[in-house]
Amino acid sequence: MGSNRLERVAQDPFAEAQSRAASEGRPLGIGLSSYFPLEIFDAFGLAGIRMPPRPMDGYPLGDGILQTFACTVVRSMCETFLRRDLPVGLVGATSGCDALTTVPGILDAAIPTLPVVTFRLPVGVESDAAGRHAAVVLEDLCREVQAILGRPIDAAALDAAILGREAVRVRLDGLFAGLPSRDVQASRVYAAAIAAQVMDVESFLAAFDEAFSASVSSAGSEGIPVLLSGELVPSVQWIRDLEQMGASVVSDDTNTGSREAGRRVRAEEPNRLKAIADSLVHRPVHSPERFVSGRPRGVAGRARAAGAKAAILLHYKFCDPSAFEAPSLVAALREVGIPSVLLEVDRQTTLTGGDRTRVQTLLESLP
Amino acid sequence: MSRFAGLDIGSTATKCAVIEDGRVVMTVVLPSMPDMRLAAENALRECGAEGLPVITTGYGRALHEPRLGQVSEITALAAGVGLVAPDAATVVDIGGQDSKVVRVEAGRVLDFAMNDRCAAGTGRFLEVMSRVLHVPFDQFDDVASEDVEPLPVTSTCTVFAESEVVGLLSLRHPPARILKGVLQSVCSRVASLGRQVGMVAPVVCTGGTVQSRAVVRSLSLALGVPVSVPPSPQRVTAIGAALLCARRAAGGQLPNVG
Amino acid sequence: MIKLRANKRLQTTIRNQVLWTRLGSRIGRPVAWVTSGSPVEMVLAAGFIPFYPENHAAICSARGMALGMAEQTEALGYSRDLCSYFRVDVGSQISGNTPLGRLVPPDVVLVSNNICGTVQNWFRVTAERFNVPLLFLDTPFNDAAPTENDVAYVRDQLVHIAAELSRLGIRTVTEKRLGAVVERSRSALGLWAEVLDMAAEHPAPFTSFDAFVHMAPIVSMRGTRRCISYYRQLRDEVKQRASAGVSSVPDERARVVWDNIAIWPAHKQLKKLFENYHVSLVADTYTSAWTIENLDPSDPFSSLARVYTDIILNHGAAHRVKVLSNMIKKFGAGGFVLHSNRSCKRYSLGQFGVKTALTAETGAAGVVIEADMADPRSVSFDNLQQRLVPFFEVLGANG
Repeated sequence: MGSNRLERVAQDPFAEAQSRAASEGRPLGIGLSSYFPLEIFDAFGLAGIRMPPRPMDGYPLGDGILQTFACTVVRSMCETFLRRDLPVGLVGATSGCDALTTVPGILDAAIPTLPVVTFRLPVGVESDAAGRHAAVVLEDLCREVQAILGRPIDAAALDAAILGREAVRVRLDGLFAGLPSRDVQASRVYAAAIAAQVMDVESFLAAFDEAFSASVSSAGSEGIPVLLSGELVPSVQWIRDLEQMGASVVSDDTNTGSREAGRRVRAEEPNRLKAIADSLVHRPVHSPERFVSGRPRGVAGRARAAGAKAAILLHYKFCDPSAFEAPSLVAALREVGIPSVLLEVDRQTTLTGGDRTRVQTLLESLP
Repeated sequence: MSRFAGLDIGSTATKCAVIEDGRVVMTVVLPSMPDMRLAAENALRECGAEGLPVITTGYGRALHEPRLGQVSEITALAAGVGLVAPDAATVVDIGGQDSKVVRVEAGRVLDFAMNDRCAAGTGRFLEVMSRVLHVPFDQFDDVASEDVEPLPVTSTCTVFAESEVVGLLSLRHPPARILKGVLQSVCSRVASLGRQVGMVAPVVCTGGTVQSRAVVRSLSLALGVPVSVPPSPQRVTAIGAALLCARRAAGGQLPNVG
Repeated sequence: MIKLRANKRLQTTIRNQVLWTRLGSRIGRPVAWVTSGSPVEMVLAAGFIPFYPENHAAICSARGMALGMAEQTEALGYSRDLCSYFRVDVGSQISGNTPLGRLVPPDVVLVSNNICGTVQNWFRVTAERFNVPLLFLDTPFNDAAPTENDVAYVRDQLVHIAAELSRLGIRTVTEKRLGAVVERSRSALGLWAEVLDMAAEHPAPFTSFDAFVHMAPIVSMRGTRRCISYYRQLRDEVKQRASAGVSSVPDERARVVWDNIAIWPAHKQLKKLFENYHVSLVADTYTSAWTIENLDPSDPFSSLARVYTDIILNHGAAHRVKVLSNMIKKFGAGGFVLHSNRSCKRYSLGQFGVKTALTAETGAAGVVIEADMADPRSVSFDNLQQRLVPFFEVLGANG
């Protein structure tokens, strides 16, 4: 049951977001990046969700406000807001990559009635200064949200949201950490992670515990063990396609997966905003400090420890941070004896013919 | 049974090869369109390979059944090169819709790079530009072999390149010079793919497009190394699939999947 | 059309700067590679010789050397979709190819994300290549002006960077030393602003096509005395032209402003096209980014923190509309050209909205043109011409 529920949501996260907007009494607060802390939206009485992935044939409206050299993630979010088929209470952007940083300005100009707030995340500073400033910036953000919604943040709701979202991440993190044992098929793990982005915390936890309780037996997978690294997993089907080709993800380094699930909010920090800020700035695996911290080596080391024999690097066309990182990631993996292949994702949510050739060749060329 | 078939169902052409005792005994090439499945059946029949164990490869490799297995066209290409050009260290394959550079050793893939997203660097780009220049395909080689200086065509985006070519034509530049420029641009794109894996000599080139001598000359120039063309360059992948089929039938460990 | 006398002097100035860099490094002066938006005053105060990879990439591109360099970088596995300045720079590092004779390797790298997130990644690649320390200045993105907390956060980092540079350089960065450099920057920035402002004269004695070239010293030499003297002479010459009524384009018939970096692979052709249609490019958001007014030598750290966080590319689309709209009014322009630069997302994404808002606010006609600042493969002069000619005709300018 629980598993069915998670898989159903993961199949069409956009539909889940729509149905939540229709059935719940609270408006949606949509975070555009995994660096936007949804706890804040929850605490203001919004239904916090991550922008749901949505298959698209094109961006007929979005192309009118955004050039074609932005990644599909950014293009499709613009398209979605312009289609107005997802009722939005508030949009939460994060300044980060150059494309995402421009989004609030683009939306303001195109849809003046759409309220957008920006979390101006400090980046690239290896010191406590970034965490401290992130907390200050979060306070600014809360004031801005308060001005838009006309009500203050609810401290009790913030505590509850932090606890609830932490519980979700801890469970997901456990699943991703368990990938090397291959007791649970990776596509089910990613389905849970994708569902978590749009489901409310309580229903997610209930569905999760039902799906992954010890009594529910799960067929493990047997393919060639691989690392999957990249930003967003395009769909559960994309993972299933990999599995059908004989690859089995045993090590994850995606925003959908362990990068986000690994974020921990310290319970002992009395300033709750500071605790959230630190959890984002010092996110393990993949933080805004990542470019100063020798991330590729870390990813390669973890992949090797998990027994990965090959690596699949998922790269969104026009995603600059991942394009900058790819060569050093490939090199770090090669150093530990793991060959890799780069799959460039544009709009497609399943593997293309060319991607299949790449993956198959990689797997066939392993000794 | 000592005969084995390899079937390369490509996006433009379907190729079939039959081998016996490690020697190629028969090959055919048919257009894949309009019906890839039918093209595959016809190719097998024309090759006298009906009923033989077959390994399929190429873009449409999943379309044909029954089969002993299927492998990627890069794995098959490397195997085929292992037979027709055993010394080769690098293979450059320019197909109709994609291009690949594969580092090989004893019929196996060491590393590879592939372009399937952008028409630039594929046979398709040449085709489109020949049409813009009104050079019929059967005259392509002659025109591109004329002894004239190529005019640089820098845009590799097909849309931009098209307007650049039209612009050059309107300035009354001779089509031969423009065509050579187009060819140079395709080959430089392939060369940049090659630099990603490293061009180790000896280099052979395969695929339908390299049947043109002009393409081979331009490619060699762009890569900065001599390249050789094995006999029937378009069929090497099918031959490789047939070899892998024989190996698998003999209980060999290749390939991993399929 | 009368050429600026300064054109020749620019060449000499740049050549001397190159020689000085080479000579300086030979006699033991350390070299800092910096981004165009870095507080270069810091490295000057510590006795470093600055070098600007962005500037260098622009020069390579203007001289038609970009393609080969970009291809070298792509061969390492870097996507062709990445910033072309980055690809040119790394390609130049690998090949040793440069129009400047020889590149002087860095002893330290200073980067700020006030102009884009790209440089942060780019300079990290550089720092790793040369195995030198990377100093990073995080300048929070803001809608219009940095908050006091932003300024404090940036100031703290500057103090930390000053300590690092003092350790790595040949002089200690004191408030006094830094103040003196800031004072020199301020003079040069003021002179450059005067030069650009003179394009408000009718006809314009100086255009952005001139500015794109004559900006080199303000980007790469600000904080030095040579920079001040260069711009003093340039200002005097342009002033003379203005009072003599000299027009930069023959028989000026229309005036437009420009958004984004120049299109180096087609720079000369575009300049010619504008001249042929009698259109003056009177102002742009690119070269005017170096006309900062509020530098305060008496409080250099706070002042640098504020100024370098308050940079046009560190603000959103609404701010851009404001800047362009003021420019259109101040310079009496009837139209505007938005260069949608594939290599620069921070500068380009959102220009469609800017165009609509700008026309609504000023009544000026606008056009968005697709190109790239350095990669000739993404620039088609024919396409640009097809876009620009009808636009010029709308403005009443004919060839």
